[in-house]
Amino acid sequence: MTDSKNETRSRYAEEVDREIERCIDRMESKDYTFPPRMTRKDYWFIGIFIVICLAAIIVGAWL
Amino acid sequence: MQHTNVNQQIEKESVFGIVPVLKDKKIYGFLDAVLILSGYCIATWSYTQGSYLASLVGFRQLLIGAFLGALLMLAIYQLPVILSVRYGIDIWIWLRAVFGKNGTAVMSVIIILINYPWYAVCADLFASSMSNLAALCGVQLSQPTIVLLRILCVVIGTIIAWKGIGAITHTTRILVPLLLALGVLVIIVGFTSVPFDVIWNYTAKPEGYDNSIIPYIISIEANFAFVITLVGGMAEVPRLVRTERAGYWAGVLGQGIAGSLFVVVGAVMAIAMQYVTGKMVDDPTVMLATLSVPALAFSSLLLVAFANIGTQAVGSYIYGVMLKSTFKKTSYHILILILAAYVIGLCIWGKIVEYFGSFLTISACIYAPLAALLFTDFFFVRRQTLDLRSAFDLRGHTLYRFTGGFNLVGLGCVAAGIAISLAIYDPVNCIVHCEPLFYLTPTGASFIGTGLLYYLLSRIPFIRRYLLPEKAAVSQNGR
Repeated sequence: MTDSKNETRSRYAEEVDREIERCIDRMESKDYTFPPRMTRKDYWFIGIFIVICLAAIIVGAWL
Repeated sequence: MQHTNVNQQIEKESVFGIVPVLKDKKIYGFLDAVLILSGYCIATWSYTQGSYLASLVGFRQLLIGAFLGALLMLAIYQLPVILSVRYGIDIWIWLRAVFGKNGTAVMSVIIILINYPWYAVCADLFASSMSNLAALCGVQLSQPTIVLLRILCVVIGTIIAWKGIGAITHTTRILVPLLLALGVLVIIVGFTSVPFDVIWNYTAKPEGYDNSIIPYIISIEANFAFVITLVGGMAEVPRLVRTERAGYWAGVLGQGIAGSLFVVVGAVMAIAMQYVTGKMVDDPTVMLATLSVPALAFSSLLLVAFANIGTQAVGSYIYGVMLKSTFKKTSYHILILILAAYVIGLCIWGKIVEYFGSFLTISACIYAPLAALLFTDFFFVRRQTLDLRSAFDLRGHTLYRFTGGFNLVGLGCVAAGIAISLAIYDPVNCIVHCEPLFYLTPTGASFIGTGLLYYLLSRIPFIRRYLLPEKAAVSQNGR
């Protein structure tokens, strides 16, 4: 039973390593398109959002 | 046979769960992700948090802290989630470059140890609800019986988790609507049974603080600490989201608004109960029985009982799978039994709710440095590139082995982050050691301090060579 469990485990491990390698190869290929990235505008918006939250928390101390 | 099948399913889940999710396999848009992440962070312990905050600050300050404090912390520490969308990987894969493979395994076990007490809070709420309902029927339960009820919640939750993925899927389909229904009930009863201005104008009277701003900062700290505990699982859903913007904002808004809403509901309940009975109560069953008709309290029993047992089951499953990916040779069933034994020990101790504020800050002591290191490493040290083959420890790719599998710099920075937090504030005895830094909150100061330390160390040439072995190797894709 233990040998068969170990066999199953290493079969899974090899299978998953092959699958990971395949995925990385796909990502490295020239025709792979990554999901749309955050833009400069997104980062600016996030920065403003953070500043507004921080300002409101500071103002809250005086309520 | 069924035992083996469940173990095999979990094994497949824990190993195949780490395979990168490519763009054509991504299944969620912004709305799907927001809904799932909203459900993930709702639990009855939100009422405990709300009641705790109401003991510190007035309602308006509580609203600001609960919503904007949570959103601020999420908006900052969730930024690295874009790596999960981009490469389809969990943050724990990236963190192998920060902690080393063995260091990451150690950190994930530590995270589980400090996070799992939430399920003792859950069990306590279950027992407290049952006990309060018994009291409504004129039956006084003894302390040993209350302890047994806590253990019962853990046992039933573990039994559900024992059955594996199928049982958990059914549980979550029932759990989230139940929790939402309970929240709606509490809101309606809370706002209709006491005048609105009683809640709006509520002010707390915390004792033992020389400076009146200290309770406010403690409440902000509690909000930071409450949301930063989500960092460990923050990438599970965004891995499956189609754009970086959607993955990021789903996490920030889903968790920041839904989670905070239930905290505020808990506070409303506690304030309403104090107005009517003179005592702050965080148990929705007692509140519904006191402020509306007792029949409603009995029906709420079902909601609370299922909610707490369901949360217990989901937690047991999630952490069982996490531990399985670290301890590959150990059976999933053994691992969830170990988790059950741990939380039963806490239930027998019985003081997790009494030390709730301390527990929040102690857990944030670990989470804040972890979040800071991920943030700093992703944006400023490794600058969004990673040797994926080494991160996955594929054969022949050993860049992130560091020193026996441990990145001493990353782990040293975690220790420094913990020290920063504890140097500022003693969470057990509630003593402020350094007031100027306390204004940043212990979690905030630890996040900033750890991030700065890690960045500055990465600028020292010999440390930089240690941290970035991939600079000497071929850079990974993604640009």
